[in-house]
Amino acid sequence: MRNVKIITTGLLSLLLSISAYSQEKKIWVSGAARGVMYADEYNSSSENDSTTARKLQSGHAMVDLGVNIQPNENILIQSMVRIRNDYGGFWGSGVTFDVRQLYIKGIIGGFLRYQLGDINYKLSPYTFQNNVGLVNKYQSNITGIPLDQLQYDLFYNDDNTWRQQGAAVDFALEFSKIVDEVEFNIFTTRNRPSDQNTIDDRLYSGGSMVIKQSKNLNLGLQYANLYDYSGTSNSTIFLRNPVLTASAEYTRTIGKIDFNMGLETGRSTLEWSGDDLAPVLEDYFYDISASANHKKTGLSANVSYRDVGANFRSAGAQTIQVNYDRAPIAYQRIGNDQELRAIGLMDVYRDASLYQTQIQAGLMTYDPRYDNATPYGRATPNRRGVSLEVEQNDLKKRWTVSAQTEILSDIVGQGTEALKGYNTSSVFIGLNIDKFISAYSKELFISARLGMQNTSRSDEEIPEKVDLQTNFNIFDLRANIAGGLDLIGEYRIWKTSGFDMQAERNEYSQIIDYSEYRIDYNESVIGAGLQYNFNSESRLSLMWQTFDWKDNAADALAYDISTWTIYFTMNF
Amino acid sequence: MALILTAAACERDEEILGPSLNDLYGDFQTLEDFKASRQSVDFSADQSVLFSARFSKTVDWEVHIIGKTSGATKIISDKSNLIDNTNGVWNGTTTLLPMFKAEECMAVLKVEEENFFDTIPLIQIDSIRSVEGYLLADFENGVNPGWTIFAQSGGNMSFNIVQSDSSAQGSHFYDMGGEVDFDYLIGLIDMPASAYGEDRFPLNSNPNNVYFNVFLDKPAGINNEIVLFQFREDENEDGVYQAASEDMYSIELRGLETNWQSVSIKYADMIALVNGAPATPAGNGVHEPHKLLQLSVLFLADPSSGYSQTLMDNIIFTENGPIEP
Repeated sequence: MRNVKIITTGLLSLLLSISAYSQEKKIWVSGAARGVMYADEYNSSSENDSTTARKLQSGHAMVDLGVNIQPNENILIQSMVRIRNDYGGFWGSGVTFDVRQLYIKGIIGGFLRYQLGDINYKLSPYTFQNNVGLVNKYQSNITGIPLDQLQYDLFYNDDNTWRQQGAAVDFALEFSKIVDEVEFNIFTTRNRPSDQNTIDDRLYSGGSMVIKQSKNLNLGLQYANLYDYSGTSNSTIFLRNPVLTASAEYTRTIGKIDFNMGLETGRSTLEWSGDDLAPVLEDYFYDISASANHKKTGLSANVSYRDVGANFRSAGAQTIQVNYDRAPIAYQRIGNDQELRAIGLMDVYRDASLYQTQIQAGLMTYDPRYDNATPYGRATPNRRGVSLEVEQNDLKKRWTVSAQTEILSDIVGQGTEALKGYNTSSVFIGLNIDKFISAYSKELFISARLGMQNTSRSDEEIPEKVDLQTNFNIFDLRANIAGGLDLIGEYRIWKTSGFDMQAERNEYSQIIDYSEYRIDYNESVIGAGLQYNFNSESRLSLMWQTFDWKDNAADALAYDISTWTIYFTMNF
Repeated sequence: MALILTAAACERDEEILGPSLNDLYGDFQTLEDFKASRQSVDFSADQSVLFSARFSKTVDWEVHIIGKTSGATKIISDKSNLIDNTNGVWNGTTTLLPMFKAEECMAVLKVEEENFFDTIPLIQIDSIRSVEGYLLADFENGVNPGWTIFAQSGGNMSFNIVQSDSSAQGSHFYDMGGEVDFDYLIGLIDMPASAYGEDRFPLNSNPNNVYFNVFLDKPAGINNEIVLFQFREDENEDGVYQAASEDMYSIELRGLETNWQSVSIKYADMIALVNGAPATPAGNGVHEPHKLLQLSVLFLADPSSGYSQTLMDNIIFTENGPIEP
């Protein structure tokens, strides 16, 4: 209690000091605040569940206070403190104080930019990029609200960067002939600290060089390496996972159409030097794409072909956001046998503890329900095939329609020479109804997405034919009632059924066995609520949703969880 | 495009990933019958028998070749879907003693996980293979007159050569047995180099290359046997072993199995023993097999433990590895 008072007094003093200095525009405060309350009610009609607690309430109030200090025009320091109070604490007993982020950045000599501490970084889809999984790809009004906050907590940004701790340097050189500019980006981060005994420091370093030959042509080299820093412990085995890629991008406008052609290709190596039993995994990939955008009609299209080798390993590009080896916090064990509850959509959209913040070597476990075709993003190994995407945005903003399809196959068979085929497709239509009806002035937006993914393997029925089908449908509604008050609604259903042989991998990410994956499951989220937008930076939402889960193939409990949620968010 | 071609020019491993699904889940069938390349074989002329078969999936298989007279057994095994010249060749060696004789043999293919068995017509061994090495005793031609044999005056004493089809090698072995209630020693055989017309045994001077081998068999019900081999070196090469100044290394064997077994030990691994306990060698402490003057075989038992017996055959030194019977 005494500590809380001291800290509170200190913070007040700091804020008063800040406001005084703020007048000189050298110190200011930024951050975010949030208040959340969940009231869950669990229901199961199964006779095998008479013990699970039916109701669960949770929530917290939280504020992130970031102090920005700019001692001169070339240096910026930010220190952000998170103060969080989980409901149920009393007089500060449930309060936690954490340093959320801390960095120093600036410019040396007018051209060399640097950042120390927390940095957000990415390179390319095959070297270093935070890929959004299929299950999180299409956000909606109800599930998107907690998901937004979760992503904010985890520093998952729209630009697909990974939050790391280390140092980064950027600079560019301009030329008068042949080449306009060459940009250099270099970073090094610590991925894992040494335990001073048997575990080395694991570092993640790399960089890129982008040659801007002209406004039409860019050439790039990207390099990323996850590696153990030998000498920081007594370990005699050192992981190395270097990835080197080259890229080219050509853009040109012909008439009313903007054309773009892109290419990335490269190689990776994954090895454990000092380990005689470990393999050396080496492979390559290439990815070529072409896109066109017709501004006059709002029509755009993109087609690409890629080939990613079975042994291509790139830790920075293949780390999955959701760690499917973890268990959800809410209703973690259910039923009279207190079995672990499988991760569901509800957990994916609101449970931050399931998410990964550290780059992982090798290949993480994935869940075939939520993406069996490209679980590791575009850099998923052992895939080749075509992607096609077409979109049309009405110039009067009355509608948006799009269609995506990706037809991939294995490059090398898993346990057989027959190859699996993967087909992922979805269509989307979004309508601003109010734009169609001139007499109706309030915003009314509805959308629907119908998606599917199929995995199949022909000519092989050992032990039975592979045919795994996922269907996902998402329906959204936003209707302005008055002023900043909106009615929001969402219906999201995810179904997977069929059979697949799932690869089991060893510590070297090599397939050593298979497990029979048989499923006939569906889950859905349906919800509605009211959202009041104070302004673009703060909003209050009151929502009800019910989450329904059932697997007919597995001996798992069917259940549903209904939830009332109050969500207040603000950025400042 | 040049970048793609450069990357694609690198070789890519096109082998299927992971274990074969067919091996894990497929039906078992013999696609090619179990066969032997010949019905009679002369191993002394470096002939061999090639077994072959092909299965529909990878399995753990064993081919058991069993001598009809001797009961000798050779087991060839592998995990594969094919038995061929890489894994199915029999050169006359033995897995379970006794060694094969000139006899008929039956061969059985076993795939236990599939409960599959198959046999082929009998294979005739016309002549057995010869084992390279310096043979001290196979007891096929009686007692070497240069040996010194001593047996106590105990009860049920048997310290002699026996003829039997069940001998580990050939048709004779040495039977050491008896009950001596006043001493550990039941009997001994001294085999000096002079018995072979040599000053010292003509062995390789590198103790890491020389192996001592002997076949032993303890009859059922015996559990008190002690077989002691002593190796006396003539370090100064004067033709006489001096116990106080020259090395004697020993091998003491207890707890033998109740069937023929091959015991092999590298000369460099022998130690000096005093009353069964490790001791410092009396001489220079250097293993010098080329200076070996005499091998002694002592059969012992605790005098209070009653009758004891062990059968012995094929005492031989080999080079570069243990005997391959």
